[in-house]
Amino acid sequence: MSQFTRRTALTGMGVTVGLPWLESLGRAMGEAAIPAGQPPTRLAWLYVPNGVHMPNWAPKTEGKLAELPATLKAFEAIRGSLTVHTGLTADKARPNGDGPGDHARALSAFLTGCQAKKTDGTNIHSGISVDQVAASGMGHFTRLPSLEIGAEAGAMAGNCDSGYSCVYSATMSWRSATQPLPKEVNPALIFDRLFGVSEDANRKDRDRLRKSVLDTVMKDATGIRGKVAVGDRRKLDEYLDSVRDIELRMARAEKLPPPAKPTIDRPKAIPAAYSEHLELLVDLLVLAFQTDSTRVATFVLANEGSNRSYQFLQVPDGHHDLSHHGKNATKQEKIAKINLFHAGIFGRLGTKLAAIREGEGTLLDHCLIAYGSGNSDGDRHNHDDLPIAVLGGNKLGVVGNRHIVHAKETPLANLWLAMLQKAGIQRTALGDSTGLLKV
Amino acid sequence: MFVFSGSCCLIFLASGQPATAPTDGLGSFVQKYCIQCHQGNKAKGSLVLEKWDGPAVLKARLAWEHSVERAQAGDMPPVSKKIRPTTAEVEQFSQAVNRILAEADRLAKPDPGRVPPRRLNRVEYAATLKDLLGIDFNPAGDFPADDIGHGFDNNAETLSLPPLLMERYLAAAESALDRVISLKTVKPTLRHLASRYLEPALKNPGEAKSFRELTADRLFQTYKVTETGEYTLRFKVYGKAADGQPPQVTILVGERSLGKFTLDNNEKNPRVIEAKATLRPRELRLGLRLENPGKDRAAMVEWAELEGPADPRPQTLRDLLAVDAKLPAEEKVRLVLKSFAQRAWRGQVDAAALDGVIALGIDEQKRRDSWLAGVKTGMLVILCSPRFLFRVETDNRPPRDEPYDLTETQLASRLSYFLWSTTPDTELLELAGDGRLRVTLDTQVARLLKSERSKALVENFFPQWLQIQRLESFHPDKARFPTFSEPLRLAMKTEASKLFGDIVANDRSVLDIIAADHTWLNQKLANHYGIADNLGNPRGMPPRVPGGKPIVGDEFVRVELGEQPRGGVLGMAAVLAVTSNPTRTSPVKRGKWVLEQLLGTPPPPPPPNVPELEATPQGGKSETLKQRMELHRANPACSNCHLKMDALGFAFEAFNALGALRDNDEGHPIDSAGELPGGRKVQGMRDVRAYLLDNKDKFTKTMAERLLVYAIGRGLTPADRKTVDQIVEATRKGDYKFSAMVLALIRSQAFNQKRGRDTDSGS
Repeated sequence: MSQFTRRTALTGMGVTVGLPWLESLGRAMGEAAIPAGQPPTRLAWLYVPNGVHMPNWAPKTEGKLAELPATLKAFEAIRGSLTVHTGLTADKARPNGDGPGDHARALSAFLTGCQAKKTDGTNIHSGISVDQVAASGMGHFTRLPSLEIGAEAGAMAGNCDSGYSCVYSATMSWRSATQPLPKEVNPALIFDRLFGVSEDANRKDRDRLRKSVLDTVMKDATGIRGKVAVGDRRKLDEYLDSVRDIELRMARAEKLPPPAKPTIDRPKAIPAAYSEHLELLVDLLVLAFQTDSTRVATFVLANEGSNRSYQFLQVPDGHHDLSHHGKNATKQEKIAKINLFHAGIFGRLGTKLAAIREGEGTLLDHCLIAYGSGNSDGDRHNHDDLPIAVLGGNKLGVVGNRHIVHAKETPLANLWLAMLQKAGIQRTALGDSTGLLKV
Repeated sequence: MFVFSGSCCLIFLASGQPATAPTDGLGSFVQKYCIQCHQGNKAKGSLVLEKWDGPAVLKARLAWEHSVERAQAGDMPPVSKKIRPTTAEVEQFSQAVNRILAEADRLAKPDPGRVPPRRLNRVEYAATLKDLLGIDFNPAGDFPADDIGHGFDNNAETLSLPPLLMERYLAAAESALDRVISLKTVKPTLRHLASRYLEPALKNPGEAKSFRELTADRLFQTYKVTETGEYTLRFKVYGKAADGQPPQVTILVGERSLGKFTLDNNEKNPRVIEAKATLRPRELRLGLRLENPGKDRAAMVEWAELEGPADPRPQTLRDLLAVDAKLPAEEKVRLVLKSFAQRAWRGQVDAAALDGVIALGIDEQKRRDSWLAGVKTGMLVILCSPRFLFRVETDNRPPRDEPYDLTETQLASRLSYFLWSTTPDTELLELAGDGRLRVTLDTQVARLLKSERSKALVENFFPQWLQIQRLESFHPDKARFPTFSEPLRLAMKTEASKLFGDIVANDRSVLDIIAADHTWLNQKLANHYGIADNLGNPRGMPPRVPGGKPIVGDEFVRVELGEQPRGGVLGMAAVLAVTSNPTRTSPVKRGKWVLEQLLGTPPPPPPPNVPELEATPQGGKSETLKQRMELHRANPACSNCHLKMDALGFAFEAFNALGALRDNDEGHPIDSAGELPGGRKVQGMRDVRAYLLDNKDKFTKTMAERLLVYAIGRGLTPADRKTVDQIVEATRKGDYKFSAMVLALIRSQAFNQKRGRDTDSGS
């Protein structure tokens, strides 16, 4: 949506305010261009913490996949949709003079290609993440511009990694360099966001009222903004930005068809078992794409540096403790078990999407779903040669069943630019990107 | 974790430095170890360390603090360099840099710092809404988790407001208002009872006729009133006269008469008699008495009814909507919204903003032809306004260059959210409104701390500071620790809360945190600790102290610990568990916890490529954890920091990963002896406690820092060091009482003032 129409939309609601420019709202990157009559492209990114056991991940040969490495066996059934990328680097996850904190940086740099500012809370700063760039290009086609989900909420206490605020190690999506987007962990609430709470006869009336309420508070907030110190305005800008976002979404919803009828019941609560929790999140993500409720999603399987224990896999140790394996074979085996479990979740997502017909192929054929970690080996904390896989895209010109080896130090952000392009979003740079990759 | 943002010094700075800050040890160190790479245009990492005089260091303060951190961590100069500085050299270098910084801080212009508008966090939002509307549900349960900044979830900078949360705010306010304000008139509850069920009870009520005869005394029902209010009592009756006299009856509440009726009607025209009364919560007999019994004279009763309270809304809401019913609708909307805004915006009502609210309210009132609809809409605006969602400290006074006092209304808010995590009550707001809050500050702080609501401080500050919050995600290996259960987890948490609650509500010494000689246990936790009774006698042994009461059930009782190696947080299962790994104890984490959370001197993070310890040794070699740690420590990159950490951490080895006592570690004897740098021997938890007591001002300082961060919602800066020192001093003078610390903090510049104009533009 161009600057002009956005402002018009606001004026139409009776508010005309000087809009502070926010990266997330600076939607000048152009809209997604999808040829008429074709199913839309969906993009998603899944994250696993603490790196992986690379010998079980990386295929031995380049090109067409032969026997799949142990961890990738989870994708046997859909290997035609699988592309494994090795050699990619998240340079901004490296210290670059900032000292320890590889976990916090690994997640915060993953989709942004930006170096997180080392702070325990004051002046949080990273960069806009690729999913939010995608959301700004194609979010207006759907009721939700993007969906951010995860299985672990933010941390409960303390700083999380060597002087980095917990925001960094718990957040994958950044609406702007200064605005991390929290993930929704409760399946019931995700369900509500996708499909609405219930049939609401008074919805029209409520929306009318909401509009007037938001108009009124927006005027007031703009007034307050003028009265606080320059440095304090950022908080009020966040407020204004969020209010505007809701207004835009309401305006959009009026033009879109009503939410699709979900094929599953509303989940009751967060399942106690981690695996069930993840499976439920996968099911909801599939539904979100299937019903075209959103076309962009991020999914954090566990926060970076997570020390969760996987007792149901007979791995009672903490994941992070284990990842510092010191080449101990027993520990590496346990890590591989955790990796296989996580990959299985990703595989479940792929398999489910592949089972849904859409257009002249499957839903998976119209998705590009990246999976990986911002750490390669959790012991060394190295951020080159990252474990990255992409599922889907067979109808988007992606040839699957392949292993692509990239030149050393190729920025991970280059792959993200390529994914954007497949979704019809032309963007020339993201974070530390240097160009476009072939996917 | 470092409390002072931007500074990472490990060296503890005593107050009262010499006026000149010598730079010995600095120049020589830089020349010998740094300058080779860090000079000129091609300086590594763009870090230039060519000048090291006072002004140069201050100019590049962050770079120098960073250099100290890297040198102490042992990763600068790089490990690849052959010439390595000695520990003493690093220490000298660090001290020299820190002396320059400390001296500058001492002379720095006072600065209360800048606190951006602070969004209410989940806890504060829920408590505030509950106080405003008198609702009893948690509207914030659906909100995304608040991010932690500087160790706490109430940090102004990290509390962001993403669209998802704004959406939830809107929905939460709507649903809260829907619950409390119903646009349809709510009918009072009606209890209808056929006369056969009235007391005295009939033998066979099923066979009774519809009209029951009252010939003597009374018929009644026993009813428990729960809500104060106006009630109506009704009976459907007719009379059977005798001797020309119709029966006379009285409607009674207890023995109080509400009205006398002569029943001169008959069975052809029964009628309803009624009386009204204001009833208060208690059990009452509601009855009908015959006043003139006589042969064949009877009152015939078909049923009894109790209707009420006439206004079924909760008291908070009735107060909220209290307005003269005769006023025009528009005026009602105006008045109610004005007083609600005063409360909800915490005394900071802006006339223009209120006009906007009222205009929309009146609009809606006209559209729906209901003043309540107008009020509800206006309230929704008030609750979605940044004036409610944030604590914004603006006022109409002209800005000044020098720091200046917050208005008393703003101070009331800071106080209330600090000690109660909720909105200021009417007493605070009224005092502030009259300009009498500052002169009554001591009394008010005492009142706030004594109040039930200070539980918020107990539940929010202490567990976050001491990381007890992490207990929620603690999942010990079930095979190794089969006794762990959810009730035990809860008991661990409760024990900690009890201690903190005692300190806050009963104004105990803050040193109780490290050195209390008592604790609170229920049966579950007492079993876990092997404690039999409230005098701390061990289980399964003859009591050493006679007269103890056994600890039974879920209730927590105070336990004198006597010889038990517990007391204060050091011996608490909650702490010992959160500093353990899922499969074993972690002396490193425990030592680090003591250094970081209690002494405020966290060791730097480990250098990369250091493996974690094995859960069980490889290759059949049978080494104790301690022996394995010693091997690990032989690595020079590690030894520096580990000396202290390990000595403190190993002292707790007699406690397993759940904090229960053990006499062996997977077959190995327990060795809890260690030596601190400097030669001080530490063996067992009691020695750590003694060490902490010898360093009690360091502990007090750490606590003061954390409490200050929590109270003002921002990370500390060097300018706050003076404030912290003052709080420590006041706490010491006040016998380490908690209130002494809180009061000094509240009186400090950082809490009380805001930055002037010139310093503001400079940041």
